[in-house]
Amino acid sequence: MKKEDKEIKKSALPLRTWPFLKQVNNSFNNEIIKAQQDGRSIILASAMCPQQLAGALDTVWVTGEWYGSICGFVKDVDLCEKAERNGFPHEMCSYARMTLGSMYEDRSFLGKYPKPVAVLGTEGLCNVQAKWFEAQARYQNVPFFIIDSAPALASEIMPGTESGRWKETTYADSVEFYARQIGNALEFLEWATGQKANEEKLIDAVITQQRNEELWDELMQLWRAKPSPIAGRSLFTFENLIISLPYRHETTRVLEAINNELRERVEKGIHGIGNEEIRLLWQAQPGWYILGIINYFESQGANFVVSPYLDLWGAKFKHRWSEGASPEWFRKFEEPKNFDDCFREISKSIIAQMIRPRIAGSIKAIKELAIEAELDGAVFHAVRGCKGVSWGELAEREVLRSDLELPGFLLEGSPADPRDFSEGPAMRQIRTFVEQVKRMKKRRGLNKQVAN
Amino acid sequence: MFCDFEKILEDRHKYARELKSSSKKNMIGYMCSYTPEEIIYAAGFIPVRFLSSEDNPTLAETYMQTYYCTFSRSLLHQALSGEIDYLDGFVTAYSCATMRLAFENLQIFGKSPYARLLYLPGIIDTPEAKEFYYKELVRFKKDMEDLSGRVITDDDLREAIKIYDENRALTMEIFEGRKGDPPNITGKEAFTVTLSGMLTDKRDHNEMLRRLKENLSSRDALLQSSNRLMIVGSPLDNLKMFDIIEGDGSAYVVTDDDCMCTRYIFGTTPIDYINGDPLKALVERYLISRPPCPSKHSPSRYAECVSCPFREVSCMEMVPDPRRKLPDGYPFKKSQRMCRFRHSVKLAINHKVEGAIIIQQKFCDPHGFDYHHMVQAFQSAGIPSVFLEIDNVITTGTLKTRVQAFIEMLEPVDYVIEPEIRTAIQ
Repeated sequence: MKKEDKEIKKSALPLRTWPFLKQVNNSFNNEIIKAQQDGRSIILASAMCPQQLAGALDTVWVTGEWYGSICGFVKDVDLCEKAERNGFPHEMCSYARMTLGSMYEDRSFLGKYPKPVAVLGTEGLCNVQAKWFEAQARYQNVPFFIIDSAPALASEIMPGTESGRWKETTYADSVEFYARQIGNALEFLEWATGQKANEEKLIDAVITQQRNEELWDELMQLWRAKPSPIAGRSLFTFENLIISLPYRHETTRVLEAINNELRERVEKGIHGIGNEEIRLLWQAQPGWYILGIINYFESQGANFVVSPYLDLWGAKFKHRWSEGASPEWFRKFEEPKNFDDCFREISKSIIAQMIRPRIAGSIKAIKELAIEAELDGAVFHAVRGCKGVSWGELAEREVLRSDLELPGFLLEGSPADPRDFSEGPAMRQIRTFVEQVKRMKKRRGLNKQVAN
Repeated sequence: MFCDFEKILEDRHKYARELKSSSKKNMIGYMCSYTPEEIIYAAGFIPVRFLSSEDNPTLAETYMQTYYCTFSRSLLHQALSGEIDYLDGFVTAYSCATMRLAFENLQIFGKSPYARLLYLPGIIDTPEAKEFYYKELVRFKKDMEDLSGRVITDDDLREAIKIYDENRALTMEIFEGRKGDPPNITGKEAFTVTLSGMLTDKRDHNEMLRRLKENLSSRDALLQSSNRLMIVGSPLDNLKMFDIIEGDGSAYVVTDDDCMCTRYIFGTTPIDYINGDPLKALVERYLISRPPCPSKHSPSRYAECVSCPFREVSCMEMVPDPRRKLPDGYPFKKSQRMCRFRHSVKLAINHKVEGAIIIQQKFCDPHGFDYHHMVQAFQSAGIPSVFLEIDNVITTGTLKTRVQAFIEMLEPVDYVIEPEIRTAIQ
């Protein structure tokens, strides 16, 4: 990165909530370390599994995606190489390779690899979320259970292409199918941990997660204020809360704090970056080892103010992709009273998230977002090895270009493996892209003046 | 002997257009071997499988990044380029994320009057999965009725199932000859037989198979001293691969676990079900009877695997430690589904395979993750293997060098298999 690129035009105030967030993250790390020492049950699972179930049992729930992202953040490439030496191809998901390598080497940022008592995988968003966890369970010699979240893939659930004829029944069947599997998964976890699930605690976890997702919606909404009160980069750090600790009360407290702080910032006119000149969209998870690259955008007055990927974790926003296609009952949260109610609410929530990668819904939603957030351009992180998340990015970029004349930039990399990213060529392209966005914004302004 | 079969593959689009014109039947294209063709056939359509081509899939690259496999991008490219405009609709069963992306792009950016992604569960042998899939088939059947303008009766379905099962049975009978020493047909011929069957009316194909069966009895033997190989892995529809392996007669592919060949035809429809509700019969056939692909799972195999001799090396699910007893109260029933690794090793042993070629489409996640375990499964039976990564364009030179080197190092396999492994694969 050039020296002048590093100059931040005008620094914004640091977030008050930041130390609170760090404290919660550190305390979660310590909880895992302590669980290993005390023999408390650790469940290893995909982030797309119903994490509320952890609330019903005395367990620590570690998501592979979170684990892989931290390994990526600390650039522990040796772990990826270890997995590759064991026959897992380089083209596979880097979170998976990081986690598998950590398992083979029995080391990680937590000290040792956290040995689970059971592993949960899921099939649907991508095949990796099943195969990756299956491979870990085999090697660890621990029981494995897999949940099929793919009913969201049936054609009738795909917004924009459904005939409407089967809409109601397909949604109902899918919710029931998934809910029954959650019941089975809980039964499996009871067996694997030797514990009895606590209904009250499960209800509390489901309600707390719903509350946290609503707070997440609010955070997403505050983020896209004009000008934005927070730098886009910070949101990726908050993401851990809603992805890895979504059902927990400490998440509620941090989200309430950050939302209060951002509201205050909006009122006082405090900006996330010093001088917000252009507003961008970020699609997909970031490359955790290249978060610094976002500094360059900020130095040029470019802030990321919205991300469909991050919206996915909100209570209301997760339904954006099926709006107009899904029945009303599907989008409405009903407070659970018993186990079955809980399974049903979790089922609705996860199926709604799984609809996001449907292309018809995603191109409709991205256009709406671009208009709503008054965007000037978009960066699509083309995540090698993550077929579920970088799904449909090219179609989304094409639609933004053709329908809204917004430039889109495809940044190829991977979330955790630095070897998949070439900083020099990428920086050259980013500079050109930022210039292009500014020129096109100016041109749109001139055209508007002429039209008026 | 195989001319009729080869003719279909020579220019499959030309053949399909001519067939459509002569048969006066509409055609429905499908991508995955899990698609229940019987329902399409019972509606009076000819199901035609998408195969990849060696053309650069430029049109697909507008919608799919290059780290999605070229097999799927090639299918989308053909749909967008109009090469397969003779098809009257598209349907596919969910198999993997990449194929789904190709299909969804086709749904939106293609110009087909009908396109449906049929939801086939990823977890295939639970009561919930069977019930859900059954409901999907009911909806799909209704779609086919509307598209064809005719009611599909149970008898129509039974007739279609009969024709398809006959096709499977005839092919399997012919493939029995692959067990011989030397085999009576080459790997290329075997794939030619199954691939051609995916592109034509199954009734006609059955006729062709009957003739082939008769003719094979008078065929001269293939070379006696050739090595016996097996292919396992991602979809393989480019026959050039067989020119590389079998071209000089030093080896024959005597069996495979590939969805373009045996995984497509193995597993007939359970007879008990056909006499009842034929849709339920199809649920059983597609979820349970046929060999699974790596993207199909079973949450309850854990209980079964405790007694599996492959537990030390791999298996679909695991309980590798023989000292560990399965505790009482395990909440699920035994899996009905066969284990993919066990199935592959069983095929290898029954066909006296001396070496396995594990083929993977570049960027194929399901097969990529299975590679590690598949190698170990073959090792447990003393069968050496080689890994080949392929694209839609087969690069003859480099692949040939690797295959030849592999064949040269092969030695006769000592089929002294531990009794417990032999029991496990039977």
